[in-house]
Amino acid sequence: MSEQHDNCGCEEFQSLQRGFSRRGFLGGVLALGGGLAISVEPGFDYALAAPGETRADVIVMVSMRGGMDGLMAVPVLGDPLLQSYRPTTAVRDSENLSLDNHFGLHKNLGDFKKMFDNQELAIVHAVGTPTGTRSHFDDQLSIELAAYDNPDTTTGWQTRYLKAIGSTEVLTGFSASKNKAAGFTGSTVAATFDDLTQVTIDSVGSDRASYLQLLKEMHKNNDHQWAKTGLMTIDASERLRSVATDTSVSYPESAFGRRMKLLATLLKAGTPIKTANIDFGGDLDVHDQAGVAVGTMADNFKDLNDSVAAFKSDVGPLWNSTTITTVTEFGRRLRENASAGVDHGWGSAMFVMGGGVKGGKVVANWPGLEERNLHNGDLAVTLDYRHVLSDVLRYRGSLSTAEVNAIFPGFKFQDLGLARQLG
Amino acid sequence: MAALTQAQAQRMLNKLTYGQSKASVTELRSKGLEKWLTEQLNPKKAETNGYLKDLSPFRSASMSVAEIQSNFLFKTKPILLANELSYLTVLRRTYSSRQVFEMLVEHFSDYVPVPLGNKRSPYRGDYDKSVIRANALGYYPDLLVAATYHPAMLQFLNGATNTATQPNENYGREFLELFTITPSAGYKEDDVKSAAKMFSGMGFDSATGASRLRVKQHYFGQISVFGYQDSNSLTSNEAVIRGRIDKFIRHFALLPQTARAFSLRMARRFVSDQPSDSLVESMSSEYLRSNGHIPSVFKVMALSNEFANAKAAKVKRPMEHLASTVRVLEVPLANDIPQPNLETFAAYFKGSPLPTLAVTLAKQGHAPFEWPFPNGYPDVAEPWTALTSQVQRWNLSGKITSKKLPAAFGAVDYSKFVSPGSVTASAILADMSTHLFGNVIPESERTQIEAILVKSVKKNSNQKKYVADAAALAATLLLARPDWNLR
Repeated sequence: MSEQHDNCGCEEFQSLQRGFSRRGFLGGVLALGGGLAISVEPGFDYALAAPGETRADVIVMVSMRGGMDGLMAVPVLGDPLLQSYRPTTAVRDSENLSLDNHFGLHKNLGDFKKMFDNQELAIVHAVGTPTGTRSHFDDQLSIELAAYDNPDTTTGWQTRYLKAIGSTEVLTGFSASKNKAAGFTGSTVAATFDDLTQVTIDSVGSDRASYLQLLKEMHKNNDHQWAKTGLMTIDASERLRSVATDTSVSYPESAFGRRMKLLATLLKAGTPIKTANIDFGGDLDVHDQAGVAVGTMADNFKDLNDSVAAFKSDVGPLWNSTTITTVTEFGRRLRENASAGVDHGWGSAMFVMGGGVKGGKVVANWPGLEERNLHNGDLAVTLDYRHVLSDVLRYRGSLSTAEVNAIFPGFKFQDLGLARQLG
Repeated sequence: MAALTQAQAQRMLNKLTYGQSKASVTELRSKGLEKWLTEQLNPKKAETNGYLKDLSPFRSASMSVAEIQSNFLFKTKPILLANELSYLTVLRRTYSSRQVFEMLVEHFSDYVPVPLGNKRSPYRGDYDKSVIRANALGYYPDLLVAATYHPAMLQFLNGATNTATQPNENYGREFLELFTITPSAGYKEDDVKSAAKMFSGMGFDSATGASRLRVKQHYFGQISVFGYQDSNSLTSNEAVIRGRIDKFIRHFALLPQTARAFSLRMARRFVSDQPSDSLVESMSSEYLRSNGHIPSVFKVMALSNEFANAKAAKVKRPMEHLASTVRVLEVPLANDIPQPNLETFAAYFKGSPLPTLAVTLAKQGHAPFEWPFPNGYPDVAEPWTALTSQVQRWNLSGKITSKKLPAAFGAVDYSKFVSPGSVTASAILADMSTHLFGNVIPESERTQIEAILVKSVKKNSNQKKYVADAAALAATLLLARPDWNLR
């Protein structure tokens, strides 16, 4: 494996396994991701790889929708400030798992700790969106469209990624939900479903083939997204009829557990999924009774841990060609509120997991928790979430730097050293 | 104004109501749009649908919060409250004669939403009644004041735990972001924090749902939000504080930025995913002129040229798809709504046709009041263009016409949509496509459908049965068209 990308190539970033450094707020992501000359129209033509030559991991984006607190998941150890901001919600260092003496992990993320030690999981901290609106809806949508310089974009980043790797086959995109994920906006090859028992087309009339042919006739030569997607649905639905659903692995009985199980089922059945969008689905918006030691957040982390661990065990060797990245629209306010909860903040943490991840490290440009380091009372964002996604796409999607930059218009790729070159 | 053609009336009804029916097309064409709208927007318009004349099967619908809170059954099983409200809502949307009102009720249930949930269930029915239904044909500022103080909202967006010393910003933020001026207005984080202070100290009595102001937990001192100033000086008079909060809400509810956001959202719901600036502007003007009078703004929208010429390009949400299918085929429920069975919790809804309808929606992610976030169900095409929903919609019409949902729906004689002289597959198909789409469908589809009809429905001596069966099959096939999923 090539290790040439180990160094991140820019002074601002510190891989904290190699030496912790407490740095002041540097002006946030604008200093890193903004002000760039490159601006690519989202509708441009990508150089398409020849069909069948797609060589890329399955890139999974897990949306921690609701605003996941990064300091509950990945607390900074030995910092009395955290306790002082959060007298009732912070847990003692001794109750956390220790990663590198500077950062810890929530006690319910035991399998994440194992993956970290096994170098299959990397953590990025003080990371977030460039806008920081603290709005669930604007930030979530922006994260998935990921085209901050193109407010009128009509495609999501996963749609652009599929185009970039030349995926034109149905079912190369998958969102495990009832509503199509914004990351797949504009795609006609991404399928949206969360239950295999609800995707079979009933026959109408005496002859199934004639009915399916009629359905196709009705949906072709029609520019509406409903019709274009309908053609994909007819094809995908027929393919999905033969997917075997048995597994010996047990998953948590949660929305996330069910979704990860479905993804594993589809991957094992050989569906051509190249990128998936999975909504975590737990209640992360803890304005009230956060329950870090016991309760809501403790349960969330257990669910996250157990579902990913089950998935890893279920997919077996496919883990080596899968990269999972968690992303959240914002972290939480540093100071807790009256009801033992935390309001909307900005910086949070991201997990990057998979067989091709250069794990075992926390990558951060740590801004510090002193009042003067905070941004409106929140952990500052010093890395853009697109840094993380673009690293994953560059190396696990086998894209050139230019192709990555085109997926994230207005953003310039910088190597964080999170993933090995596919090879 | 020239009379509406059948196709025009169908298109308008598909946008303004849960779907056309033969009777509603006739009514709209004979009255004309303006008169029909005036009637639909009259808050006193009577409900004439048979299923909705007697609401006694929905026991919680007529109960106060205090009665619900002291009811052993509902206290023990709050899910029954949630289900009752959900079923009643699906029934109203599908069958009510006050179609525009029900559409507006849904619209405001998405605009200022409170999702169902066990903690909120004792209050959620009252929120529907006293906040949404009471104001959907009234004034938006009144609706917003009522929502702000309502226990269901105080519980959902943490208003009840927002205190002077440790503000919970949740409601203050969504008030600016979703319910009034929206981010494009350009407010700052400090505005959110100050708004939260204005709302601090609110609470409610859980036994009755009555709102309360806890003076000691209310913040006193200067409030400064997006140019609005209130010295908000110390007082122990609860009514004075309420007066300040009311004034604050009404100020924001009547800002031009709110007028615009309100109009954009309404036009997106009823006209197209991307309404023009000029339509939004004319609705905004009317909003400001009428002090936020919802029917007045709605009328400006519905009587605009843009509405008259708008294509059917919005993707129906699952609710509209289900209701429009039932309405156009005049499908009755399997039976009237029975009184609840009080012997066991599990049998409470025994014999009710409505759970099947709610499940149909839940499988597509659109059961009433289940969107968990305060921005309401999405209202543009893309999120609803999902594989699972497409398959289930194609399947639904077949399930209805071939009587595979006997618990929910009664039988229909599909020959009633066909003229007496139409006895061939081709004639039956032509009549049915006019009934559903107001026009003739493309030749290539027609040929294929005809072939399927000929192959699947055998002619026999019973001509009436042949016509009915062929019409049912034609309807099933035609309803799979993309057009049926658009409004």
